[in-house]
Amino acid sequence: MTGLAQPAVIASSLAYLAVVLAIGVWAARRTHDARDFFIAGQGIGLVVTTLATMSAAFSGFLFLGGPGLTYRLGVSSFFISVPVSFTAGLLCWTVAKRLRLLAEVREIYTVPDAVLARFRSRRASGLAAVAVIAGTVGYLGAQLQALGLVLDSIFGTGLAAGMAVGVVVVLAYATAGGMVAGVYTDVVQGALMIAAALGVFYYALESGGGLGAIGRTLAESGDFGPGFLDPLGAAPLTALGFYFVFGVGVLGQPQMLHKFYMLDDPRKLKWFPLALSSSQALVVLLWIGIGLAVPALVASGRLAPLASPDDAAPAFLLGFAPPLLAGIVFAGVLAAIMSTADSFVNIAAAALVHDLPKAFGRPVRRELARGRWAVVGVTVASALFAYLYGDLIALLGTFAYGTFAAALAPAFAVGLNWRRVTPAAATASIAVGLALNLGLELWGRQAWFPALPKPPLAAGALPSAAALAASFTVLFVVTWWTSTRDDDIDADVAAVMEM
Amino acid sequence: MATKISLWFLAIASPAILLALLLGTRTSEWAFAVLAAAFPLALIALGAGRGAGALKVGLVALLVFYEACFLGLLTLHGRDAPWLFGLPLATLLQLGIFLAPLPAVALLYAWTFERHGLRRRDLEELRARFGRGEGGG
Repeated sequence: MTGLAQPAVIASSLAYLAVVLAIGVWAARRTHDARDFFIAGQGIGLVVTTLATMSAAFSGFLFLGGPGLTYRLGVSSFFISVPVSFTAGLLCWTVAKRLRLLAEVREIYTVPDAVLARFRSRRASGLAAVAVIAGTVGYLGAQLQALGLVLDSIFGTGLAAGMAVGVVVVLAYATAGGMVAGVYTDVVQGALMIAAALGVFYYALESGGGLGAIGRTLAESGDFGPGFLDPLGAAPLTALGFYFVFGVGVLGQPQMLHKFYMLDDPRKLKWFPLALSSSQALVVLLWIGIGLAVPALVASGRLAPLASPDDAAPAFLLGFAPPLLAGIVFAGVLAAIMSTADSFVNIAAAALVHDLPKAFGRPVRRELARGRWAVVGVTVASALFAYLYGDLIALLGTFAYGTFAAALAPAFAVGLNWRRVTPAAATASIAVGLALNLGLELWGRQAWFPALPKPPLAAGALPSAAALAASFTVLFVVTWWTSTRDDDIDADVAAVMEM
Repeated sequence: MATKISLWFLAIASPAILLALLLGTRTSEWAFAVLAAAFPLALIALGAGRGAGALKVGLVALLVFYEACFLGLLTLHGRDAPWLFGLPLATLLQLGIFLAPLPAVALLYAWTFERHGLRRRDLEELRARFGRGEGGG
């Protein structure tokens, strides 16, 4: 069944799209220069920053990919979301304060800008920009895949056509408004999703007869069985890997780190962890609710087995949620995808027209105009990559998240807090994290050379977890191997690190 | 002191986790769980810098909580454990790891905010000394 059979679903989704486009037009009028385009003029408050960060973190990956991954792996997939209990605090203690203070003393727009300021290494900054572009292609691809799935679920377009329409909408939106559009869409989307998640969680539990009945149905099911409810699942290294990558890797996510530059007053960070983690925990209820209810509905024969695990959320919303709520959630999911996609295309555009040319010592003039062209290239490349990747949204998202994590988290988490970390160590860590994550993922998935053995990882071990651990290891080894000079760190950056 | 301990832990835990992911034995799973549970807390202690002292009790309590939960999950893994509130004990433990530390971590941050760096006078001094753009960059 598609949403076409339910006018309320269509009406709410279209109404939301109209709001998003209106925000895009309004934002375009407020975007005057590169500073507005990339960091929203550094003038947003705590609530907007919180909702924008939450929306950037929770996207099509969580709303559609999450329940899909649970359908395939069981509750071990929840370990992707379990770290939200501490990630906001970890971000603030470890990097947020220093990134925001760097923006007090430097003209900083991007994550590679911060790498350049801290390490004074164009090589490290350029590699960080490459990591940002590589991760963005994966993450944006996951958003476009999710967008295609939503449009297919509502309008019956088919996945490929849905993704093509999604590319056009994202492009129109992101090239016009830049980060201002993304940030203000996040506010609408974040508020909407918190309300909708609570509603969906209630209906999900009700549809399965309550948490106890859902648990019993799953445990007694031949298709799912007791292993579905085991948090460590069939492969404990996978579950623990999710926890490690999504818990520690948050420190390398540009879509979140970038938001700290925008906060108007750094002292507002005081209540940021409480605001962010509470709102994230509420929204995760949507994943938990649908993730448990859909397999139980399939096990009890009330829902046909899914053709693809990623169909879990649309199947539940269209079949078991009230049409108005389903419409709001679809609209909210569209909003989540749009805001995250917008954040990513702008971050990648900044990496292409601002960071890479700077790393090569050839800054680009007219960044704003070139940035809009870069948006087009990145979006089209991401859609193609997602289509060719051909797997679950959550797995594509995990790969992209892991790329940022492995390449950037060690250099930021340790480098911003320990003066001894040398530019050579940061460069090596970024290079190893990026190369290992891409290499292990492609090696594990390649089918061109059947005789080639699989990567030397234990069964269930995530390539991203290995790449992240290796990147931290390289950072420490090279730091101890190389010597620091007194003038390695500028006085203003040193002052920020001392605070 | 807290910074040194954190750095030593991170430096040792990183290759140990990598080794665990390469070997994949039952011991590796336990080692990965113990190290992964402590890793974010070590990063928090590192990031808190001069304010880490004020966090000591909170961080130790969180460490004990996370380690106990993960060891519990490993112990219950694959066993026919009792059910509580309609769910297997291990699943409840997982939900506990998700929800219980949330207010503790967030309120600990707010409570120690003045001590770990963003005092108003420090911020004003930084702005007065460097202002935007004077450092080069």
